Amino acid sequence: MDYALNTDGITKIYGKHTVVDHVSMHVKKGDIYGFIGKNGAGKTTFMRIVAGLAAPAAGSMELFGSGDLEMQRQRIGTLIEQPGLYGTMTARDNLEVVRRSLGIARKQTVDEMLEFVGLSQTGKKKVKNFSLGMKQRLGIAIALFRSPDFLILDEPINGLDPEGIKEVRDLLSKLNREKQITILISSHILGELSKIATSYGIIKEGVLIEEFAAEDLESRCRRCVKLVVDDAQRASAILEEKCHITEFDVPEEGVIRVFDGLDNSWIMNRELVENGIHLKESYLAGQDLEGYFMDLLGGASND
Amino acid sequence: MEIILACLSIFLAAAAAVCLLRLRYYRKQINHIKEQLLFIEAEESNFLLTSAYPVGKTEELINVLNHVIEKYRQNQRRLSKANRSYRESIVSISHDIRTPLTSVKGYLQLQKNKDVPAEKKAEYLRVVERRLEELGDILNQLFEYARLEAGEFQLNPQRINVGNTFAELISMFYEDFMVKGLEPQVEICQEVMFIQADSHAFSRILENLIKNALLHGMGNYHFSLTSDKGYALIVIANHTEQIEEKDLQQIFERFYTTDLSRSRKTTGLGLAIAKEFTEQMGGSIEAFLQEGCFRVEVRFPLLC
Amino acid sequence: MINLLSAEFYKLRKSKGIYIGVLVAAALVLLLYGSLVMIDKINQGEIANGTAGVIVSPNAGDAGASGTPQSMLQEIGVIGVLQQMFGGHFVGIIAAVLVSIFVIREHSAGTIKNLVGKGYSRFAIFTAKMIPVLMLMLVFESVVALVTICLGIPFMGWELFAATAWEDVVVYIGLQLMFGAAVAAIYMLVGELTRNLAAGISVSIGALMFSTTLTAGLDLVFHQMEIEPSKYWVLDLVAACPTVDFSAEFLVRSVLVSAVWFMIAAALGVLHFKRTDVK
Repeated sequence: MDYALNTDGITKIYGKHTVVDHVSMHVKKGDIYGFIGKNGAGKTTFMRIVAGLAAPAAGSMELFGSGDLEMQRQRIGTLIEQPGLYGTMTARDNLEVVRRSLGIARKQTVDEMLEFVGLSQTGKKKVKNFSLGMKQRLGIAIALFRSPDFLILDEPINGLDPEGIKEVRDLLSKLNREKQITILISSHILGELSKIATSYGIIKEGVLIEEFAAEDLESRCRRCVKLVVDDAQRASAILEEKCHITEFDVPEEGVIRVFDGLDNSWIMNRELVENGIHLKESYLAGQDLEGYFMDLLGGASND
Repeated sequence: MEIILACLSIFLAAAAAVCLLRLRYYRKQINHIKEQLLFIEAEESNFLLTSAYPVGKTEELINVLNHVIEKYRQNQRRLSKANRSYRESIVSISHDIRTPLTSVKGYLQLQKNKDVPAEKKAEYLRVVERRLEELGDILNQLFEYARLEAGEFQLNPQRINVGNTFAELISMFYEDFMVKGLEPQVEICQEVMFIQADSHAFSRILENLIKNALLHGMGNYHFSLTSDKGYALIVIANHTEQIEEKDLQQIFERFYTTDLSRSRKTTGLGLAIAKEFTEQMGGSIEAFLQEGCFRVEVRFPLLC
Repeated sequence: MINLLSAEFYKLRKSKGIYIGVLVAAALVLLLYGSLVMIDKINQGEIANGTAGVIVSPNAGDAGASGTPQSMLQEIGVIGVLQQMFGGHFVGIIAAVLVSIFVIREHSAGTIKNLVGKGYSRFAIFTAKMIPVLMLMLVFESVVALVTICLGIPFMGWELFAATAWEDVVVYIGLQLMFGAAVAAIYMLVGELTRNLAAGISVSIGALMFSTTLTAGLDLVFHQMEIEPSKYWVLDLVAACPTVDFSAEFLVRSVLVSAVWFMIAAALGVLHFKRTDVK
């Protein structure tokens, strides 16, 4: 398998705090890799290490199967934290600086890029007077400036309005589809990525706890039978006693979610009714994505 | 005299230094370009050449090279896309043919069974016949499309009364709509309109569009013919829940169906054929989606 | 490297702060000449002592007590005003602000991210920043010196102006430019270490104002051993640079001290930039 990014045990320590803890990430060529974790889970630090902004305390990595990071990093476009912009200059001047520093010979590239991200009308407006969305788009223009093969975007849709989010999402899937650009994109909200991501990595307290393809996501969102009853305690006892069911929980008063024995849900229903439980509803349900990720990330209780 | 000589020698030394520096830059720039070209050759990448030492016309050279590289990449992308679509075509064709064929085989096996009563057997045969007819239709469609795309189709443009043809075709399918229990709303402009088109091809366009509506539509059928700024405008609209905004761009592509399982008897060629015919005869065809109403608009320039 | 330099000079060209810095320095020169003229007038009794806040102590004019009152301007001349501007650290303070802004905004605006990890070594990035900073410093100091000299004509009158010892002026400016290069490297090091605009400017100016006091204290401490650390600190030399009778010992010491401090500051800056993560 061809990887755009392949890390092995990347670790970063600030003082006594291990911010990134032996992360071994595998981003396949052509993937849109959703990198998901709460704020402060180590996403940004990891991305900074990959981009060469920070040095890891331990571990190694390969970009496009090569250990010559200095060379291969030229193929990466990054937007990490705030975009790096000169506030007192115009959008055009900012891109001109980038064009010169990257050694791109074609001067028209600046205008084409402005056009591409929809900032060609900003004229003499200084970047410090731009809205958050405009700055973000200029940041994306900088990341795309040297036609990269691999984009590293740190929360690129943070703080954008719904329309802006959709725009960015469409842009990314277009770049991925038409130019085969591999994208590593982080977020603390899964819903933002679930429409475009083809792979996921879940980071929690600096540890990459899971890595899986989007196709596996569905099966990972566990199916369950939801029972709405009048007396959840007695019902759960009956389920354990008579149906030998051990995997269930009670997410709210009067609701039981059963995870095993799904094929024989009629037995559950019969037992409950026969034992005098008032069964109001019984249906098969899949946990939603967001719920699944909350579970993975340790739930809302830790917040 | 000495002063002049001193100035001259200083000038010459400076000129020599500048020349040497430029030479060095040239060498470095060329080496830089070579390294990057080697990289581009070895890797599948979007990478474009950059300049490290902007001397002389090397930057222009880089621009030209980049242009060539981009062109090459575009061609490669187009090629791989065409390849993919070709593979997909083969898959869909075999799927479209295999499904009725399997069912034909199945019925023929039942037919062999001696315990089956005669009237049942006759029924099986009728099913087989119907399936074979479908198969024939699919093959005809495929053949038609292949010829159409290759430009082998001979079209004989002539004066056609749009209203008559349209009304005729709608009445042909009227029965089917009534069976579905959905009477279409028909609106044909009183004015007599003529266009220049091949009569067979024009009928096929309308036939395919109506069939498509019949097959995928969910009621609220609306057919209309009006004159619009020197064009004959044919609108075929129906309610839908299957089609989404993103489908509109691809709906006229061959083998495109929104039906993922492809369970219905549809090849996804009907609209592609309609589009090909329309465009070859100088018309235009567009699809719209508005609040669950799918609408296809066909325009042909009017003859006076 | 050439690409980086091209981008840096483009930024330099687009920075309005630099033009403002030059204007402020020119205004300071104007102010200096103005107050000198005013002191002269007070001494000659043309206007009352204390006018516009200028107070001349009664002894000030004693220098020329022998007969005709000596003009202050005549006494110090162009080179005296130059000494006020450079030795008094007026130029140094403005340069500290300019260099700090130019260097530190790369970190505070995050634009350094656009360069690091883009195929350039950190050494190249730092050097590409250092060259325009040096240019900025030298051009700025030259412009201030030029303005000072030119403004001498209207304020002193042609005769007095023409009587200036030009060799001394040239040597003085040359020495100050050389010190300036070392000082710019130190500002850049401070900027690299702090990476924060407010901290960078205050540390740079603080060093300018108080490091000489510190070296004076050290002089006292090492008095017994007959070592004078202030002789080897570049900022002391900026202030202590004589305007006439340059001794060979001073010239050699100046060159060596500037070169050594420049090297130390540049090396520390590169080392820190190489070792430290970029925000």
